[in-house]
Amino acid sequence: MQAIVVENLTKHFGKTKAVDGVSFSVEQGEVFGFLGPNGAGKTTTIRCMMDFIRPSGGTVSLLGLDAQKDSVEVKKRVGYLSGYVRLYGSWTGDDHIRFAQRLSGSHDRAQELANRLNFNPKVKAKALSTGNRQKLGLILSLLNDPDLIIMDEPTNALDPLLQNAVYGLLDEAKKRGATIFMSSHNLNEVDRICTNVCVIKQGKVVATDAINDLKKLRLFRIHAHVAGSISPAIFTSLGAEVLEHRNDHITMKIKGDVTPIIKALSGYKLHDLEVEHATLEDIFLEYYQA
Amino acid sequence: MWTLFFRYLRDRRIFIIVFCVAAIATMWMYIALFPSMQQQSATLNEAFKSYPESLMKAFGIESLTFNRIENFIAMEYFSIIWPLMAIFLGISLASGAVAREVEKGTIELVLARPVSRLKLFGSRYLAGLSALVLFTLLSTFCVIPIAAIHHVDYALRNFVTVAILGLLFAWATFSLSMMLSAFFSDKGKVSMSVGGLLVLMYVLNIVAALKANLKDLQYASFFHYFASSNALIKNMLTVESVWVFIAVAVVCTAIGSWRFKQRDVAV
Repeated sequence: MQAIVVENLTKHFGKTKAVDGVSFSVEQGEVFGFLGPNGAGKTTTIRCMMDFIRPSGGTVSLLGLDAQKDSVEVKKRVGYLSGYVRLYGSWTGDDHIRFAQRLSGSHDRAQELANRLNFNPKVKAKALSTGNRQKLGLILSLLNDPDLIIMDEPTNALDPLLQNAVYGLLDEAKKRGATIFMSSHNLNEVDRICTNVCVIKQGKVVATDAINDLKKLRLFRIHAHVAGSISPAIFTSLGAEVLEHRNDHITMKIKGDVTPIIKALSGYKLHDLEVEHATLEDIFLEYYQA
Repeated sequence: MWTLFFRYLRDRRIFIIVFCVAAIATMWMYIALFPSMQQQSATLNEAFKSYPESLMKAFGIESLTFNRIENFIAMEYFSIIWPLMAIFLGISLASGAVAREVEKGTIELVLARPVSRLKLFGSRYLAGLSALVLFTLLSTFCVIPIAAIHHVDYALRNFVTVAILGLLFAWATFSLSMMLSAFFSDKGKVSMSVGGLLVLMYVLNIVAALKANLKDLQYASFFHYFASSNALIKNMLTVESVWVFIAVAVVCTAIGSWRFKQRDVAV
């Protein structure tokens, strides 16, 4: 069953097309990464999914229900974390938690979550650091063991120790069958948690695939150390992107067949040659910069 | 719904209490002053006779003798101070109910929960209206204990009438503010728009009273219908005033709730 179906979603702000015909789907139990450079339309898409903003066109279905028409029913089963957690300054963490519990009718996981994230709920929100605000946002989003968790930059402002605690919580959610949809700029995090990703750029989807399939894209990084000097011109003419060049060293990125490059390198006396699949970061930069 | 209702009132309890206490203190001051004003009534009446009739009418002062507490309170309290306080309270409650939440982004905290937009708007509307009812009742009927303390006679029926008129005026102003709060994403814009509209209405009412050929402008002003002097001095409440305030409140509430249901709430 599909937990999220977004079809031809568009959102215009005046003449600006923030989201322009975005379509993707997420299977139940999947951990789905939503990636893109700043201003690509990630947050706008998430806000349309949460019915905070109304789409100019297209449909969003969450857990088999219409995200707009059945918004109340949907939100009984959805946990949401905003990219920038906004809180009531005069309320304590406990006030926020009680308020959320009363509205959602959820059972009490607050204490356990607060302990695991090392969060003090007695402090007023206006005195919380950015990291602690993020922790409270995480507690509020996971409070009622949601079937679908939608997060905009979940580990933003958290230290590595707490990032691991969050990954642990998301792993547990995944094990009990929850679907996780998250946007992130942290590619290591995406690589670690997500099974599938969607890359969005200028309001349009540029790639949707499994992480492992993306990594199998024919994108290589070649590093060669030769005797004497090496000229980058020949490799550039063969379609390589030279990343670094220092007399007898060259590092380049190649998309597609590497055979012509290897043939060109065979004309040199090689001290060292490394051919590796590009990192996830290289792959995303390829999409972002295309 | 009640969670949203009570939480909204709880967050603003000090603000509401301060307004109520300030209104009661003002009423107390005027009632305490009344016996000495009553003694000077004859002299003051002579002085008031020299005022142009149209000017007195423009400021809603048509019957100026300080022989009764109702006359004195109508002129000193219900002509300017009370409506100003009701307007400030209503605008503040309404702009904080929607526009401020959108501006601060805290509305996401509420709407991420299983709460419909209509329920959110309705609960905030009822909470604001309840605060205005409380303010109106306390600021008007505090006359009962205060008048007893100062041994001043008063006509309770007249105070009931002015309380009804005041509540209708406050309800209409609050509903207008709630409507604009549902349109804007900035608390300041709501306050400025409603404040500007009410100042314009006040000016229209004065101009209509001063210029016979512009008399019809008075019908565009809330202050024409908020005839507190007639209510308190003559125990008179026109059907026209009642229906205009009810109609404004109902129409503004309907438009506001429709707009809030349609709009983008994230900025």
